[in-house]
Amino acid sequence: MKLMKPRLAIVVAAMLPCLAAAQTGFEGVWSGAMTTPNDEHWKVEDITHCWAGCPLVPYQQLGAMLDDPANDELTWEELEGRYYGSMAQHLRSISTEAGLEILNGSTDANNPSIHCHDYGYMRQSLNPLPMAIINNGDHLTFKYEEWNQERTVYIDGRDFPANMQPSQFGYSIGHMDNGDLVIETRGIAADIYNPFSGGGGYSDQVVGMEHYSLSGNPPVLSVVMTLTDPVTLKEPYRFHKEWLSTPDLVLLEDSCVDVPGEF
Amino acid sequence: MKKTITMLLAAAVSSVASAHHSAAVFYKMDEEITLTGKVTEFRMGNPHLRIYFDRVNEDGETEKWMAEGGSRTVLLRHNWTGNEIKEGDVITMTGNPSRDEDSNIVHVKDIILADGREMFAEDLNPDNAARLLEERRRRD
Repeated sequence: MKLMKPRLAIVVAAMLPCLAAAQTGFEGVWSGAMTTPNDEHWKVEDITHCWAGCPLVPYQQLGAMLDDPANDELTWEELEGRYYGSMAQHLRSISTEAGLEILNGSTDANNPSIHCHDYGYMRQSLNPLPMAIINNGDHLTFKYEEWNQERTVYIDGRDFPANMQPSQFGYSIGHMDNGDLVIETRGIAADIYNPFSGGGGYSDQVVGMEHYSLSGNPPVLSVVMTLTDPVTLKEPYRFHKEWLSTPDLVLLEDSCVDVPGEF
Repeated sequence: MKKTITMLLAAAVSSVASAHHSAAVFYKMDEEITLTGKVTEFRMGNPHLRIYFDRVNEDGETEKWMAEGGSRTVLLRHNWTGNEIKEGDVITMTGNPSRDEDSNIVHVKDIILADGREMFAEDLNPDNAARLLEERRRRD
């Protein structure tokens, strides 16, 4: 066996991390409408109803209503009423009995987020604050400003481990598909949807598929998240969210203060 | 017309903003109140900015109130530092009252600090949404 010359070996060793960390194009700091409300990219429905992600079907229906001149005489309150109506109807139409039970039991009293209980998979993946995507070679780290949390997405071709126990963000495996980043997540602990998405929640049988794509220059990051859950959903439940590239933005330290009971 | 749209969009922006972390309180977004009180506690953390204060009502009685504003890191990017308000400060707040008329809660948007500075205390400005809606309907 022919040994590599020491100098060449050093060069190759130095290159290995770079080779392993092949860029996906999704690396960087990304900010949603709440952080960049004055950017001309955003539409009115983005900064009023989709800054923390929103159910895709009602979002598209609201956009279509706004595009139709026949609705120009409607007040915003009337348009919003129709949006909330379509959102509730959509979730109910795709929910199983168990899903409806969670939906009907969604109240402010059992909203964990007012008691410094950080978000589960769905709420955290679509949270309104900025995030950074960092490439570590065999995995991506999604670093969220919200709750200062991190999520790992393996991109080294591995399979899901056997006997996964449900955890807050589950176990995520990603791959590139024609320039898009597709992430499948399993082993997710049961949690609620964003309350303003109409309430409700999913079981620990849920599977999340996130399809991230890039468009435009400067780039816009879009995701369609599809949840399937044999326990709570009869059909897939899809969410949408967008971020803008904000390379100069620095993630800030988040902190939580429990809400006392007096108010 | 613009004022009406702004008010209605304020409802949209703020109703979801209040649900960012907490749907515990809901506000009458078509009503606005201005309150002056003495601060008893100030918190700029998740779920939202919170100011607890004492207000003397029209009958001369002292009432306990709470004002809720925007998210911590959003406000930090809007030039808040967290040191603007301290216990004992007398401040004036404009915002929307709670739908629960028994609750002394206000969804605060604008604050006049003890030193006279005016601060915007919410996550998103409804004027921006009103502008976007008008542009959308002009179909430029």
